[in-house]
Amino acid sequence: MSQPPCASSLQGASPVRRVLFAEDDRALAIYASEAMAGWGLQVTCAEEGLRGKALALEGGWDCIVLDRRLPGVDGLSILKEIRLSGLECPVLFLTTMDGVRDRVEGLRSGADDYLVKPFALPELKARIETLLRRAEQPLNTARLVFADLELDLVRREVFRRGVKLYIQSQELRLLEYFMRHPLIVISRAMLLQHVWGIDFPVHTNLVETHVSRLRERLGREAPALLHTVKGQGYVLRGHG
Amino acid sequence: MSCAGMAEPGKPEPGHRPLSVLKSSSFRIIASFAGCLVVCGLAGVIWSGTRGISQLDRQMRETVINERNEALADAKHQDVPHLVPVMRDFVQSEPGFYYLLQDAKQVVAVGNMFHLRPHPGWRMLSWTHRTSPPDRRPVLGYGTLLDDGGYLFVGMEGTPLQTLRHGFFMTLLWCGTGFLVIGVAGGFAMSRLLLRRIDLISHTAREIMQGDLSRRLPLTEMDDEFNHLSASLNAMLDRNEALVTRVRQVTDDIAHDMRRPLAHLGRHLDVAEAAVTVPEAGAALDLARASLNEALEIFASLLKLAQLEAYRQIPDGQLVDLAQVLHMLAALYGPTIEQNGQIWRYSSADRPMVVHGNRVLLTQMVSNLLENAMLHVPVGSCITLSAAPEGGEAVILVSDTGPGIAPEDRERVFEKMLRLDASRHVPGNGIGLSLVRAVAQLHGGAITLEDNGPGLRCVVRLPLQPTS
Repeated sequence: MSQPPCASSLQGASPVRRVLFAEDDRALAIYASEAMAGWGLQVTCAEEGLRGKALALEGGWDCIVLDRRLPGVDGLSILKEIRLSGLECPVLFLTTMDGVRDRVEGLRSGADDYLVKPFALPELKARIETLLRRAEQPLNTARLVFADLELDLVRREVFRRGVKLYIQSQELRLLEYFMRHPLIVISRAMLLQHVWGIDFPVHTNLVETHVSRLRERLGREAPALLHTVKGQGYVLRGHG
Repeated sequence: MSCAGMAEPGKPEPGHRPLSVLKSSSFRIIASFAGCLVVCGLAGVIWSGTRGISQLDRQMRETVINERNEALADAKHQDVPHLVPVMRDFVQSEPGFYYLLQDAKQVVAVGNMFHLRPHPGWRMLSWTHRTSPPDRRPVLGYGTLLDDGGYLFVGMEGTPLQTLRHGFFMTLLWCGTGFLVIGVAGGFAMSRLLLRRIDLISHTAREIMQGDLSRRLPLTEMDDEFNHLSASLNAMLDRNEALVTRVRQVTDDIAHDMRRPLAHLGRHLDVAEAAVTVPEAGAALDLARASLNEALEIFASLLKLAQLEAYRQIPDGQLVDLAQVLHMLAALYGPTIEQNGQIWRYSSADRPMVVHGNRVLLTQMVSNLLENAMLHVPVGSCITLSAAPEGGEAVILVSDTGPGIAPEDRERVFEKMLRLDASRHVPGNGIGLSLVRAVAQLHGGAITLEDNGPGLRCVVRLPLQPTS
């Protein structure tokens, strides 16, 4: 379980990624940073706001995981400082589950994503992975390509092996999200939050339906691209 | 979890309408008081007036009767021939009196009046009966039939009596009008004054009810009963605020402190899952994980609900086009509902329906209703989502043709954590509808459950942003 099936997505040829983890819950900090080290990340922990802020402003981070509640200086202020000083590294904001306002404030203040505590490790991993991926991608690309799949973002058209596929808008948004974050196991919560803006619990099989419709559209006969990872979510992964 | 000391914003509150002066109790009290004064005053005036009039009347009649008796006594016999010399003397010597002596044929023998029809007893005659009328004063007098068919009339000026009567009626009229005007105007003014202070108190109370617990009633310089009342209420509000703040603090602490052990529990489960090799143990761990997630979700929903109920304003409120929100939800839920074997109907609003609100909360509100329908109605039932502007409101309709909810349960289902027996087997925690209502009320709207014959019809009404 703690050895996720696609640990390789964080490693590869690129240099070691540096992550700053500002979290005052020591047990969580140790546990999560050990896990992050296991994913091939180089983690620096800060348990206190002032130290977290100083470290963050030093720069050079590939990703910052920032808790909302920190002793000394709170996460939101640190976030604002980071953005004011012109640092553009991706920030994952950790909020409490009752912080309806925190989430919006976090995004407004320049966070790239938020994660509600307490979270499962695979969820944290997926969030960090997507943020790191986003940072290395050119922002305004006109087409996404994965294996034999091609998505023209301008004309909203999908081709597989050069053959045009007809995909409805909801499924297209889903596919775009997968193609922007290939090889990363994406949880249901992430799909709901990032594709449809739903950050509350859903008890029906919404995601399953749309994923299976998308699979249908991608071709039943062709080799599968969208895989289910039991208990964790879905991943866009090549065949062979 | 919600703050116990607070005015319950979940309950529908009657709209605040300004008190009308005429309906106020102070006006009614003062008006009835003024009414009493008018009645009493008028009674006094009438009593003293009639007393004065009757006294004057009696005096005048006594004078007239004395004069007549004197004449009759001087004449010794009650007939015209005997009375002629007496009356001649009287006419000359007694100015201010009016006399008439006429015989049976109504020919005037002596007197300073014209002949009269011989009616005995008291008479009030107009000035035309006098022989030399320099003015128009009436005559009050007494007529006596004489033994030989003649008629003797002795009278005096009736002006004082008439003036007094006239004056009396005028006094009555002016007093009545005056009392009435002063009473009503005074009552009105006093009520206005009182109402202004009472309105101030109720306005403040309403603001506090809407969540601004720090508001206090203003105190004035005067040490009157309103100041006393305001001071007492302020003391109560201080105490309430302290209590609510403490409850909130405790709630926050619980939220924060309980997250910790639950998070640790999750981590221990992670470790256990990584180490476990026995399939049965793995299954048990999966169940434990599911239960933990369920507990966390209930916890999160309750906190969110408590937060929604405590909000004074919509968090991150902005202009949201409900038509767009519904469109997205329809595209999201429609295929899922059909996949599940239920029939899906969606009729979109034909024009934008802009409300001031929080997009995520509004999305959750409609999503909760759709999920409720999906989870509670059997395969083959129809689920409908529609919306239309109606007057100044956006009306969102989520209806189904499922088993519905009995009328007596329709209000109860909004209660926190309440799950009807019929839905025990359905996933969910019974907070969904409470959240829907809290969101609707936060946005100044309301939700009602109605019979869809068969099925359930949820109607959400939200105030539309006026289009400029």
